[in-house]
Amino acid sequence: MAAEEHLDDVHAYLVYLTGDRTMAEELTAETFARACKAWKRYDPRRGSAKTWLCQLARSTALDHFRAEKRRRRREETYVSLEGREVQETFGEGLSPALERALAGLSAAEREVVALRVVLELDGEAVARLLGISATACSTRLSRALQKLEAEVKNDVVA
Amino acid sequence: MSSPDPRHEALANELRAAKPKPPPELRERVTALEPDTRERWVFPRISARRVSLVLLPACLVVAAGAAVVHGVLNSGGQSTRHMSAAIKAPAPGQPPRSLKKSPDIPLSSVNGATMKNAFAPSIRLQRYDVQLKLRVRNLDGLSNATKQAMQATRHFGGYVATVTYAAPTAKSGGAHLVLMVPIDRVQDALTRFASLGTILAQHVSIKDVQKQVDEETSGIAKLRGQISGIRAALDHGSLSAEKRRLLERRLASDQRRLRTLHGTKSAIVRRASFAQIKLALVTKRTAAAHPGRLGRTFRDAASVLTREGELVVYALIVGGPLLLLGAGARATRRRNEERLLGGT
Repeated sequence: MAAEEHLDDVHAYLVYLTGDRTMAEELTAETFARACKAWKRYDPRRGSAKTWLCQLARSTALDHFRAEKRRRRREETYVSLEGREVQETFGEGLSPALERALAGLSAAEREVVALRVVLELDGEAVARLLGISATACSTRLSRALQKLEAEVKNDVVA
Repeated sequence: MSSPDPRHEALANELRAAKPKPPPELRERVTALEPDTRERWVFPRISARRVSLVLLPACLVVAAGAAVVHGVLNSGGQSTRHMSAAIKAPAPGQPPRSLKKSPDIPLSSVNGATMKNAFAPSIRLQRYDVQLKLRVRNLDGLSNATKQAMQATRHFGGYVATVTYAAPTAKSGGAHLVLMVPIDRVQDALTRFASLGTILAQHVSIKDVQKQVDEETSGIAKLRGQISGIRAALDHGSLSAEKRRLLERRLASDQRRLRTLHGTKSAIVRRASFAQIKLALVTKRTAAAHPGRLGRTFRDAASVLTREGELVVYALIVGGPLLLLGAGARATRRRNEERLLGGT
């Protein structure tokens, strides 16, 4: 399957979006399962396979988040990323300060960083994928990066 | 691709270098997946951009094209308004244009038989209705033609049912006459009327009323038989008082019905013995107001466009709330997604 070559990208995106490696792995598998079913629907004229897969990954993750939210509501238990011991979640060899800073960002901010910086998708494709305007996308990325920079600096100073 | 902002280049490089890698087990799971190769029809997705750039102009072109085609086809060489057909004026002494003897047929669709045939005496009772539109030179001509038409009607043994004469401006005007002419003089009358001006349009309809009269006649005969029977019964002396009263009531009722049937039959026969001629006289200027073929084409096309516009407005009224609901649902979904990702 040609989509497999984008496995690293989809996985990385989901790691950033969920902030949880285990969950990201499950969602990556689920995304590719969905992609296999919906492969006929992919139209190369509408965007690259990487963008399509990221879109599929996003909707898979959102479905999961919704289900989780419902479950949390029922069980009234919520495990926040905050306070969690810093592990190598967002990448191998990332400084602990940057790991902490990434964990401090919202999922929306992390996903724009993943798509624009890590996966190096262009602004227009990312804006379309996220369903927001190119300006909003650019602003969100800029804020996220500024936050990361500030957090890393604070961490180093502390 | 470099970082979107050069100030964060170092940060971006670090993030890229440390890109998370999927574990081998995940890679195996994904590689083991088989893509679905079953042929399945997928509804073609049409983007909003394609709709606005292609579909919308295409719809507009089709709508305008339909309007123009309708206009061209409907305008024809002759006006079809008011159930009439433009025809050439007949030569003096000749009856107007040919006509086939059949009910309610506009002249434009017939040929072969003559007006003489149309009004030839028939054994059957028929109702004739003629609409004639003439153009006269000016207001004086209009006045003269109106007077002559009325005189001619009386001369042929008919009568003038209604006359409407109007001259709203000093140069143009029109008159509308409803003339009843004995059926055996219709041909002469039409020849006379046709000579009053230039024929612009003419329409003849013939309706057979013989069947109606026959039905009335048989109804009358039947009633007469019933009345004779009742009278015979009443003449018989051995009837009880109650039965006699009953028969007398029935006799009175049948006699009333008989009178009504007689009246109806007489009216039909009377109406069938006269042809109704609706004569419209117009001055040149009024007549000129009738558009030519190009004008009619534009008018018909405009009417189709108006109709299409009405349909679009109707569709918007019906579909507008649904579109708003859809847009609202989409915005809500986006907001929920944002909230979901913001708090995750």
